[in-house]
Amino acid sequence: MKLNFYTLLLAVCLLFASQAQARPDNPDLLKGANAIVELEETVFTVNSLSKGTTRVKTVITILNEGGKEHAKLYVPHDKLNKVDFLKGTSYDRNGKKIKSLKNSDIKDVSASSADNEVLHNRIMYADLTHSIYPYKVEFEYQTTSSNMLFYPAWVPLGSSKTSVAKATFQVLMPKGVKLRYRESNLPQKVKQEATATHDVYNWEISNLAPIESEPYGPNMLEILPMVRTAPSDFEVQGYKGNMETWESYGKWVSKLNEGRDVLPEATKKKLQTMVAGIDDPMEKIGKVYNYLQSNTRYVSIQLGLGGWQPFEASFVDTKGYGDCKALTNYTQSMLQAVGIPSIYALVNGGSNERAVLTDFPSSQFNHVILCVPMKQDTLWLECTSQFESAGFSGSFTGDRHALLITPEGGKLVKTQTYTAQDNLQSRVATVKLDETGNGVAQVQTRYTGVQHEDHRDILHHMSPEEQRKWLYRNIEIPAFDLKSFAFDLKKGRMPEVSEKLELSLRQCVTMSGKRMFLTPNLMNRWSTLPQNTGKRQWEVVRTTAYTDVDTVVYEMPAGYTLEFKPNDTSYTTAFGSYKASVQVKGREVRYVRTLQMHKGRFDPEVYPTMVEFMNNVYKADMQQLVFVKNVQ
Amino acid sequence: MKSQTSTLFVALAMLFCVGFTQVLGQSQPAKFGKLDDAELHMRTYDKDTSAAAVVLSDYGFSYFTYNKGFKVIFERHTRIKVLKKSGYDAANVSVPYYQRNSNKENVYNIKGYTYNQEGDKVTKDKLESKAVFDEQTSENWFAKKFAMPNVKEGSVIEYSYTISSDFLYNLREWEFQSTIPVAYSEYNVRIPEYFYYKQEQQGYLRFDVSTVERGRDRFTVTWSSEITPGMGGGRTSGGSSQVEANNETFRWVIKDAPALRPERYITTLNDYKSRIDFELQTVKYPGKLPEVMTGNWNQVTSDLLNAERFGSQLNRKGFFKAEVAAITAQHSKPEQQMAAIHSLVKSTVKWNGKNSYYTTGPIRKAFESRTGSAADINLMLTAMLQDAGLDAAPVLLSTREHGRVPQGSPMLSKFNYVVAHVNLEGKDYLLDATDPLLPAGMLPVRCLNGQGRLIKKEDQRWVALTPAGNNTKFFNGDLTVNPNGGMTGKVTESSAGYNALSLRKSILDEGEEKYAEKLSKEVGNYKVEKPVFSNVLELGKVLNIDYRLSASGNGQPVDVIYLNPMLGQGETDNPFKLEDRVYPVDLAVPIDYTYICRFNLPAGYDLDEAPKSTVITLPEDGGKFMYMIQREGNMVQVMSKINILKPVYYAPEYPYLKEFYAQIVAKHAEQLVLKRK
Repeated sequence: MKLNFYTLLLAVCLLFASQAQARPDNPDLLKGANAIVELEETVFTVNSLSKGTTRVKTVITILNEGGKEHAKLYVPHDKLNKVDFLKGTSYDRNGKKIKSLKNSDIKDVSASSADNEVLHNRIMYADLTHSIYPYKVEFEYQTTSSNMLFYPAWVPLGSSKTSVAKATFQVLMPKGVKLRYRESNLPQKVKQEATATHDVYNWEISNLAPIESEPYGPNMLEILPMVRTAPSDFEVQGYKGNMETWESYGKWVSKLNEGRDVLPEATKKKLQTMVAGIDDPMEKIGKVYNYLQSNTRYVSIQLGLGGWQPFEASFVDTKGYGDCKALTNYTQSMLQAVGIPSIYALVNGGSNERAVLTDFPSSQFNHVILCVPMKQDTLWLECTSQFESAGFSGSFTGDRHALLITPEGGKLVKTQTYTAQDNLQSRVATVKLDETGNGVAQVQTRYTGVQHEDHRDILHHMSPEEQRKWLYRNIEIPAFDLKSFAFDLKKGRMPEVSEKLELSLRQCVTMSGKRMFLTPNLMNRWSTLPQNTGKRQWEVVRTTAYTDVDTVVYEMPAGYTLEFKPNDTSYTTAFGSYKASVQVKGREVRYVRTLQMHKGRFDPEVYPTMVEFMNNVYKADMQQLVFVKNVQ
Repeated sequence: MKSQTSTLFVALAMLFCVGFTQVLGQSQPAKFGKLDDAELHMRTYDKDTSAAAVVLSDYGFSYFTYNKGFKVIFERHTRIKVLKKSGYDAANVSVPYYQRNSNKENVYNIKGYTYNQEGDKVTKDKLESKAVFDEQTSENWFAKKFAMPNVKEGSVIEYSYTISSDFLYNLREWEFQSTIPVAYSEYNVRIPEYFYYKQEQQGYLRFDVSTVERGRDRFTVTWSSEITPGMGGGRTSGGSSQVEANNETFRWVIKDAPALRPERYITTLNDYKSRIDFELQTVKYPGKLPEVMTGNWNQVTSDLLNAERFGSQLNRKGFFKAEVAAITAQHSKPEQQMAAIHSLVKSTVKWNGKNSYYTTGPIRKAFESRTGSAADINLMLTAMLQDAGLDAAPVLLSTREHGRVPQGSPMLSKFNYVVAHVNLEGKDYLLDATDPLLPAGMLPVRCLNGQGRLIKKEDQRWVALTPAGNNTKFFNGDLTVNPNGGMTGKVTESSAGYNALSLRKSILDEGEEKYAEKLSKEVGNYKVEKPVFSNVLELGKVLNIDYRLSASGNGQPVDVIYLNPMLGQGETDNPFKLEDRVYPVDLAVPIDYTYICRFNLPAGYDLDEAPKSTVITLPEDGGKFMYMIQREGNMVQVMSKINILKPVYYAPEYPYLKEFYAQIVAKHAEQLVLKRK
């Protein structure tokens, strides 16, 4: 976990998700459901710019064991979010009370688990699990937040295999304070009313059957009925801001960082001496980034302002550690000291994160990186890694929106994107086989872009012994011994790992009497085949683009004649293309395979075509050559 | 006076030792703040050049003090060399401590420094007290967490802390090994004569030092008038007195402990770690009778049978009388009664996932709420079996994850689970009712961990926790081959033993319909259709899945048909790829996979080539692989049978196991060749 604020929001969403309300007399709701939310009422009252209260009441019928998570309630809280009360009661199928929560039943535990994490986030937890189904649980609780950066998101159908009979969401805004909201997938829009003191926004939804996820489907948050809310004006611990535009939101973040960039003179001098005589800005950045990587480390200590405000640059300078905000702020200060301007940038880090909703300025980020504008393009620096190449922004922060933070305001920009050609795995192998079918292989592989990340990580985090074991686990050859291996990482804007393997192969070909069988695809056979479910509801989403090129040259044992050779194969689809060919010249067999996968979104109807393509690749990768022993 | 002399002596001894340190290097624990230049200059650890960090010195000392009752004080000083960035984790420290009711542990005197060599200067960064965070991790567990400042490649960090504890029962254990190498690890324990602890040592490393020295302790015992003094008893006026007691100081040292690394097929890495544990056996205060905390098995058995949350529960039979009476009325044979009671408990009470050998409360409560821990469930089962007149008793055990149980004198903390034992005409049955899919007489895999202890007054012994049944799979296919190389036919896959247990669980978790849908897919050339399950809930029977299997051919007749007779069901990957192995291979359950498939050849084709039949065995009847091809007229039958007969193979047997599988993989890749006549 890099930053905790968005996680908190998500946790709150999930929580909402796990409570709701309904009508058990609708048989559709029983189909495929482990639990029915009979009723969920969420009321969010904004008391002032700096304070809000959320009250939630849920009644859930738990139909079977699969729904038992609904009998548990988790309410996260921290210094800025207090739990005012929490109640719960369970009832058996006849409506007879089983249990009411006592104070001693409510546990309070820390939300952090790792040794390198210190958070003030805690979770209140209550459990009303029962073992005779069906039974009903009712929870009611209220939290008060003084972190008004976040307004709740309402996701009535947030749990899988759960239906919702009825759910309501009400937001009460004091007169004159504006609510911003974004509705998605709702059958019924907001209904507004006004009282003497408040503007009231009401949402209601009923009879929602469970939504099932599908392989290669979109992120659930895209397809679920949902209302996101956000403030216009807000205040957190004395810091006032406005979120109506990315620009104004960025201004607020910038204010938090104000004055935290002061470096000790000695450090400034040291840095300036370090880059003295260097003209090339890229080289200067490299020096500073290297200094960062050798003198600091990432520790998740997120205590200031609900985890929002970075530690001062001088703190990181003396302690040598910080979280993503602190380390990014520190790097920015160091670059400043050597005359290179850079920009603090909020981003949603992770390999499978939902895209930022650009039309709804709000706190949607969980990580901070540094953006360095260059003459030709933009360089992105990940400041929490001791290993990353300067300017590489791969599956964790690449190809998405980031919010640049400047005193003038925020601005959304796209981070680095890599193409299918950039994310390359290119391999050349030569295999020499003896008459028993055993052999020796020399394999050289180059990994670039996103495809270099696995090797980058094992290079930095594993000892040679562990790397060896990793190779044994990951080399896809049925029986082999690893004679030697070597890795070489070339850091840079497009980092690259070269891998050299020497393998001794056991029964690389299968001998059956006078015949010899060879599957020429040595070590890169397609293996995942998704379920071909009948009718598909959602779009097909492919999130990764890459290219694999394999060339394998075999020297076959003497004394055999070719009996069968597979035809050259080629498939071209919207999802990717595949080409494999085999040439036999005397004792030499040359196999070339190129697979390129595209990313993108496709209509639901084309899903079977994608599965078929994958199965075709699977089959093609299993093709064999057959040789017959010459009669003496 | 006497004690002063001994202090002096100790001081002198220390002086000598310090002298030796210079000469011998790491033969003494490091002294706080006294760094060796070599430690700062070190770039790699020469005993393990791949180490990302190494513990240079880890020193622990446990001793007793008296202050309104005895406390155990644990002091620790650790020095670590960080060699690579991937070793930075060693600089983030978490010190867990425990509190329960008014009894607590306190962590204090936390000190720490990071040393770096910068040019020819050594810089020193202090761990500031405000950088130590306190965190509650669960109901009773807390942790002090701190991150050492300014850690870089080459840094030496050291920290020390003290824990005082009101919990005498578990004197702090010591681990000599870690996931990074440990150059020097020393533990000292000074125990006054009042306490006797059983020591349990484990691991693959030898002690470099293991000594005991005798000495004297002096405690100041104070008490106020209204409090019963801790060591005396009875009501007295307030006061204080000096008490002297003999003591023993144990010292253990292990040098150059290698890093501990996880492997596949093990119980828990902790079983392989060099460590010492303690368990309080007796407490004897002056002028008092010794109080046995745990002792010999006879005593432990008797104590357990009298314990409120163990044996006492076996006597509370009132609440299930009617149910048990109904079973004994319906079934006359003891085997049937046993199975019926087992079913009753399985269907009545659900396991809450908690392992324990003490019940949560009265078992009646678990019966009524229909949910309970392993102890609640299996002691209830035992009580019911006894009530039916069967010869039943509890068996204590430790789950695989919890680690090995030492045999010898009892250490209850090494156990974490209880099952029921039934003796029917001299035959032993072990029953566990925590999983509705377990048949009577079969233990779940988590319980297959060596020996369990039978808790029975008149029959005290260890019982082997052996698997009842194997991992049994049977594939039976009948296929007709077409002239275009495709084929169609029927397959029955049967499962028994532990394979059936896990398969039943998957089918029920997913639902039969969903699971069938999942099976029905096309993988390469093969297509599975219309799977039908039978005996999913009849636990005593073999679980069958029948389906239609087809393989696409070339679309037109071909002269030569190549056919892998294992139909993609063979072993395609050797599970034992690494060259060698330090720990035993613990599979828990023997393996029995049989594959039989009959191929009806198309008319006009002849079998041109077929794999040779073969038999491979493991030494000492450890296992057998049989592969046979038979031809009868137009039909070719392929049979493959893999038997792994032992649940555990020791490290020297590893190469055989690796080779055994290599040969199976090679055999399973072989092909049938059919040729047009």
